[in-house]
Amino acid sequence: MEIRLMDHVLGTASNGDGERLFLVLVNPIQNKQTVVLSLEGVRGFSSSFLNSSFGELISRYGVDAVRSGLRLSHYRPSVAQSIANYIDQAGQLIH
Amino acid sequence: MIHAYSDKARDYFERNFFRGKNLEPLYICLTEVFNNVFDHANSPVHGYVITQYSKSSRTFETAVFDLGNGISETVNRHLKATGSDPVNDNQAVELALKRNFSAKSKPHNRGYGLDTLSSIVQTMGGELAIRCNFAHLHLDPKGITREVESLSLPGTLITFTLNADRLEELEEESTDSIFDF
Repeated sequence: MEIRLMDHVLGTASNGDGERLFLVLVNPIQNKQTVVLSLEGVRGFSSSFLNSSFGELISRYGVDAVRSGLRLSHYRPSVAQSIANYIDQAGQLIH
Repeated sequence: MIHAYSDKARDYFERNFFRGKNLEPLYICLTEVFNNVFDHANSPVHGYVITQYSKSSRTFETAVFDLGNGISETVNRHLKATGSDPVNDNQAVELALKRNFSAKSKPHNRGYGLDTLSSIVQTMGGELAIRCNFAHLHLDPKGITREVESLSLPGTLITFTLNADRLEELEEESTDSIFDF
């Protein structure tokens, strides 16, 4: 399943948009489907956006479920790495 | 909307001064401060912001002001709620800057926002000042200074600068590979 992030959010700065991404990803992650998330046009994220999307997924399903169920396409390397760093750090803190 | 100003500021400066450069540090700093206002300040006017670029000093200069609770009051309210002793205004601001410290005004808060702001400012060779109640905290490449002001400021004023000479080249999107965690 491929999902283009910017089709579902207005931006990547607010909690509200993070929550929208969470709602897009929650069922596939819960059902152990693999999601390819296209970051076409995405330049970066606020920590609030990351908390409300990936952070919330990690809180509910654990870091391994998010790592194994998520792939990225059309990404800028530093942007993809910022998600990877967030998942690493949040995975250590969120139980 | 939090992203609207940040998007427009980034795009304006890229288009007019820094074509081909990555202005994401400016964008992220703005969004972190805005989210801090919306999540914690409880300000009746949300906030005021101005961003400018100084050609002579080659720095971005931003000021964000809200008329809310003030960071120190929000932190002390959280400390009291969790059974901890109160701290003075400057100590409260320093706590707010620590990674993983959050006043938990909203359930999703994890204490990354102001830490991200100060980290980017330091990486970009800039300065960060936070003024609230009697606190006046200033971070620059030489370190941190704390002043106790004689007048209490209602709300919070955050000012920061970023050195434009530290902007990196804008990366191309990778279209033929998949990033795997």
